[in-house]
Amino acid sequence: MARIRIPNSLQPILCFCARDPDSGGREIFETYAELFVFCAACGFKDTDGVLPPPPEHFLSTPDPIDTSVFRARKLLPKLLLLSLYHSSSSPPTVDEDSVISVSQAYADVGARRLAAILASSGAEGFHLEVGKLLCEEKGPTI
Amino acid sequence: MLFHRLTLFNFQGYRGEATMEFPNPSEGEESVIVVLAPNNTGKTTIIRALRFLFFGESKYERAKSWRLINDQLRIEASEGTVLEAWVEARVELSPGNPVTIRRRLQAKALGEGKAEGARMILESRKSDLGNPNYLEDDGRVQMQINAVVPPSIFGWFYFEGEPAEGNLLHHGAQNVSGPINEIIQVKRWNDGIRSTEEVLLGLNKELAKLGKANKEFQQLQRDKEGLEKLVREKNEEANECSDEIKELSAKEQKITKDLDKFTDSVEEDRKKFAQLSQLKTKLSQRESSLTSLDGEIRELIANSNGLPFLRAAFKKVEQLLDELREQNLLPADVSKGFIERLLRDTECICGRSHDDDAKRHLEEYLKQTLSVRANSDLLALADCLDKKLEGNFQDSSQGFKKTFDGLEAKRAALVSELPIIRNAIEKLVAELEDSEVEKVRELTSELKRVTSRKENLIRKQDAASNSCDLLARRLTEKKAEIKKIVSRSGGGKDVIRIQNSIEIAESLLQALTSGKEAFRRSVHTILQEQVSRYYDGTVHDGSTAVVDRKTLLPSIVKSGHVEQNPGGGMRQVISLAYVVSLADLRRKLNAELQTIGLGGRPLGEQSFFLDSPFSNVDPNYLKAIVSFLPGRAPQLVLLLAKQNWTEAVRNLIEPITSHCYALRLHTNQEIKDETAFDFQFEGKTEHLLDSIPEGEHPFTTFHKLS
Repeated sequence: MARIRIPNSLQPILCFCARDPDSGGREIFETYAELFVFCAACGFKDTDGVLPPPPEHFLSTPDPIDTSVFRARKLLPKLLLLSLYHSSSSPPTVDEDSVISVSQAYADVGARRLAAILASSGAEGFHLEVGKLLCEEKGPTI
Repeated sequence: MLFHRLTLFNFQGYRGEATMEFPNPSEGEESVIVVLAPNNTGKTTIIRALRFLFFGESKYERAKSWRLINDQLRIEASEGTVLEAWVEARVELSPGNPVTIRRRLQAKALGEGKAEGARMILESRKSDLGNPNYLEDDGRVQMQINAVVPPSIFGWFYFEGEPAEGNLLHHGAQNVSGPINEIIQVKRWNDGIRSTEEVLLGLNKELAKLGKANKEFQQLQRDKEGLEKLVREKNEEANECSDEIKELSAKEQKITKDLDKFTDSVEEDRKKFAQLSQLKTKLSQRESSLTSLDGEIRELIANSNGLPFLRAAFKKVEQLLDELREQNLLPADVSKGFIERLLRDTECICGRSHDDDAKRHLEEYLKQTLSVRANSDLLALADCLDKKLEGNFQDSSQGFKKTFDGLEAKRAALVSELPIIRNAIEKLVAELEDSEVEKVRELTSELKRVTSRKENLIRKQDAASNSCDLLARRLTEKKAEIKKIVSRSGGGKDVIRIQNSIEIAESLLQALTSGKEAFRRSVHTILQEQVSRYYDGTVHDGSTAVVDRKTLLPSIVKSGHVEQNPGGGMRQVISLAYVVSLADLRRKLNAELQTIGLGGRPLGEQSFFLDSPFSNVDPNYLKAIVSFLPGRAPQLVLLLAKQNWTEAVRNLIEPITSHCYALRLHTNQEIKDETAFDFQFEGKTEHLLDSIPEGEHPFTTFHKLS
C-alpha cells in the first residue's frame, strides 16, 4: 500500500496537531493527515501552482501515512486535485505515485510558509495569521 | 543581679587585666553599655567568662579547663610554673549590697603551651576599698549565685542572638518548661501538696487499721480516692474554661469596639468593592469569550482543509474530469482488469475467437481504462467539484472568508475591551489598597471565631460544673459510708480524731491544689498583661503577643493566626519582652514569698548581656527593640560586631549609650581587610587593630571610648 511521507519542514508546526505530544491547547488539526493536506494546499497557493522540486528529507516520526488513511478521512480528493492539475497526458494519469510525489512537494513548501508565520506571530497569533492567509485572493491564475 | 565592674584576667584571648566599669547601679542609674568588637576578637568570650565566673563552667571538661588560660602565657611559661587566669565581678547578689566575686583557674605549665592539674577557686570579698583579702568560698557564695542566676536560666539573660537559644516561642515548650517552673517557684506548691498527700496517706492507713481494713472499707476508700481525683480534674477543666471565657469576652469587647470605629468610613469602600467584583467577573467573561472565539477560528481553519488555497485548481480539474466523461472513461463501466482478462483469453465471451483488429482495439482501450480504485477516487473528486452537491469545494472555499471576517471582528472588539477593564480594575485596587473594608472583614470573621469558641467553652464549662456537682455529691456519700463503717467497727475517740484530721488534711490539699492553679492563672494573667504591654506597645504592625495558659510561653498572633515562623525581628522583640517581663515577675514573686514568710530571697533588678541582638532584624523592629530596652532593663550590655554596628543602629544607640568600650585586636597575622576594624563612634573612626612582633600570640584588650 502506498504511503505519504512527512517532509522535515513540517516539524515546527506539528504541535498544531491534537495527536502531537507537544500540542498545548492551541491545536488546530485533528491528525497529521489533516495538517499535511493543509500544508500541501498552502504550498499550491504559495507557488502559484508551479510544481516545486520534491523534498529531500523526511521525518521518521510521525510515520509515513498510508493513502487509505487520507481516503478514509475524505482528504484524498484534495491531493488528487493537485495531482490532476499537473497531469499533462490525455486522458490524465491517475496513479497514487504521482499523487504522493506532487502532494509531498507542495506540503514541503506550504510547511515552510506556515513555519515562517509561526516564527513571526508566535503560537498565540498563528491561527489569526493563517486565517488571513486563507482569505487572500492571490494565487495561481484561474 | 546588677554589675558594678567586670574584669577578665588572662582569660582566653584577653591578656592581662581587661576591665569594664558600669555606671553605679546603687544610685539608680539606668545604663546601656556598648561593646564594639571586630569579628573573632572575644565578644562572645565575655558571656563565656560570666558562665565561668558564676558556675565554673566552660566548653572544656574540668581536666582540660587550663585551656581557658591565655595561649601566650602558657607558651611563654617554663615547665612547673603556676599559671593563673580569673574572672572577677563586683555585683549585687542582693539589692544594694555589692560583693566582689572572683573565680580563679590555676594550672601547672608543662611547656609548649600545655598544662595540667587545673584547679578552680571561687572567692569573694565584701569591701572594695584598700586591698582586703579574698575569702575562699565555703559554698555559701556559690549557693547565693545559683539562687540569683540559676544555671538553667542563665541563657535567658546573658545570650548570643536570642534568649534561651531561640526556644522561647510557644513551640519550644519542651525545652523551657523546667526553667519557667523554677522561675515561678512551682516547686514550693508541689512540695506542699506532696507533704499533705503523705499525711493523708498516713491518716487513711491509721483509719484503715481501726476500720479493720475489711474489703468493703478498702473498696470505699478506693472509690473515694477515685472520686476525689475526678472532682479535681473536672474542677480544673471548669476553671480552665472560665479563664479562657474571660479572655474571649475581653477580646469580643475589644473587637466590637474596633468595629464601631470603622462603620462610617467603609460604606463608600463597600460600593467600590462591589464594582471591583463586577469588573473582575466581566474580565473573566471576556477572557473566556476570547478563548472560545480563538477555538472557533482554529476549528474554521481545520474544517477549511486548505480549500481556499486550492480554488485556482478547481476549473482545470473540472475540465479534465469532463474530458474523461466525454471519452466514456468515467465512470468506468468496463474496468482495466476486465479488459486485461479478455486479452489473456483466446476467444471472446460470446464464443468468437479474437481477431487482430479486436485485439488491437482492446489494447488501445486498455491504455485509457481506469482501475477500480482510480475510478472511485475520481468519482469522489467529481462529487466534491459538483456545484450542485452540498459541501462542494467551491462553496466551502468561498464561505471561509465571510465567517473568518465575522469572527475576527468580534475578537478585535474583545481585545480592545480587555485593557480598559484591566485598567479600571487596577485603579480600583489601588484606591482600595488602604481600605478598611478588608480590616472590617478580618475583624468580623475574628469576632465570629471568638464568639463561637466562647459558646463552645460555656457549654463545656457547664458540663464540667454539672459533673463536678454530681461527683461531689457522690464523694460526700462515700465519705459518710466510710464514716459509718469505721464507727461500726469501734475505735471511739481515735476514729473521730483521725476523721477530723483527714478532713483538715483534705481541705488543705484542696486549698493547695486550687491555690497552685489559681497562682498559675495569676502568673499567666500578669505575664500576659506585661508582655502585651511591652510587645503591643512597641510593635505597631497589627500583631499581638499571646501567652499560652498551659505552657506560659509567648507567641505572636496576626490576623487571628499564630505566626509559625516569625522573622525580621519579631522573634527578638517578643523574646526580649518576655524575658524582661519574666525577670520582673520573678523579682516580685520572691519579694512576696519573703513577705509572707514562705522563703524566697530578695532579688535585685536583672542585668542583660546581649551578644549580636540585631542580626537579621529589619529597620522597624530594630527601632522597636531599641526603644523598648532602655526603659525596661536597668542594666543592658550590647556586644556588637561590625555588621551589627550599622548606621541605623548607631543613630539609635549612640544617644542612649552610657559607656562605650571597644575590643582591640593585637596581632601579627596578615589582615586582608583592615577596614573591618574601623568602627564609627560619636563621629570619630576607631581603628581596633594593632600589630605585635612576630612570634607572639594575638590577644585582645578592652578600651573605653566614652
